[in-house]
Amino acid sequence: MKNLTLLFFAYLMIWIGLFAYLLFLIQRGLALSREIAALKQALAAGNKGDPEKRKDRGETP
Amino acid sequence: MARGFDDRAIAWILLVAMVVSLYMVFMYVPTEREMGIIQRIFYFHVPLAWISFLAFLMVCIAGIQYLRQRSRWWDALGTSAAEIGVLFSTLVLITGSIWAKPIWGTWWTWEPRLVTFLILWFIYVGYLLLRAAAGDDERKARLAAVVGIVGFLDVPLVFFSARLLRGLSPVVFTRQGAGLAPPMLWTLLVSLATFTLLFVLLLRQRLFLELARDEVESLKELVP
Repeated sequence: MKNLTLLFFAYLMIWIGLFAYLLFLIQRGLALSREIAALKQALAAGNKGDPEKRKDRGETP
Repeated sequence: MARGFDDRAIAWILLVAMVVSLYMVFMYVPTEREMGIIQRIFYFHVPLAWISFLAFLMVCIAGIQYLRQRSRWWDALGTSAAEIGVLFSTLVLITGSIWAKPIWGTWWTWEPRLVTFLILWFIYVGYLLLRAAAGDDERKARLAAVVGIVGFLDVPLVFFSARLLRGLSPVVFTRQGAGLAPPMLWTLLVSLATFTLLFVLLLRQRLFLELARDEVESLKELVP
């Protein structure tokens, strides 16, 4: 019985480890998604304010 | 990539499958007569090995596709699958040693299946080291694709080593069938399905991460 309990906890520990890895990937993914959104926003704001880039896009000043 | 809903659904199914699998391994399945309780590690060890092989097969396919198309997507898929494959194969080596100690009386022995599997592990650790090394990305991706394809040749060797070279490792699946009592077979199948789900989820997340990193890099170059 003691061995079975030990095995169960070993099994559970590995599952928890794998879930922790999964959570780490999800967290990193979310952080990168936020970074991408912020960069896209900065890019849009930067382009809007830059007369040269507006000219490149063919927009009237 | 549409991840949100699909991944949440997979994660919930995975959680339920994990609980069912734990119940089956520790409550439902009978204890094996000769090996005793330690045999239950088999329901963990075999699915881990299956996922390792599946991951390395994906690395091989991704390598072939990368060399044909030179697409970053295939390269990213190869890297992601290799990382997960190495993680799972490390767990295969650990759980195998835990099983071997009470059954063979030693943590490790130079037996054909163990040796070929260790070689496989080294090949894909090498693959990851190559990816992490500094240098030209294009060249690294090309080299990694070749290592991924050539490395996969070891998988059939691992599989057939116990059958052809008569090693110590037990052979479960033979031409005559699985050689397991129905409750044991069902427990193994549920465990296999659970780990396959985990693999799918991990691979999707890891691939997304790899591609998102690229997007961040390219956006950083554009931002004034």
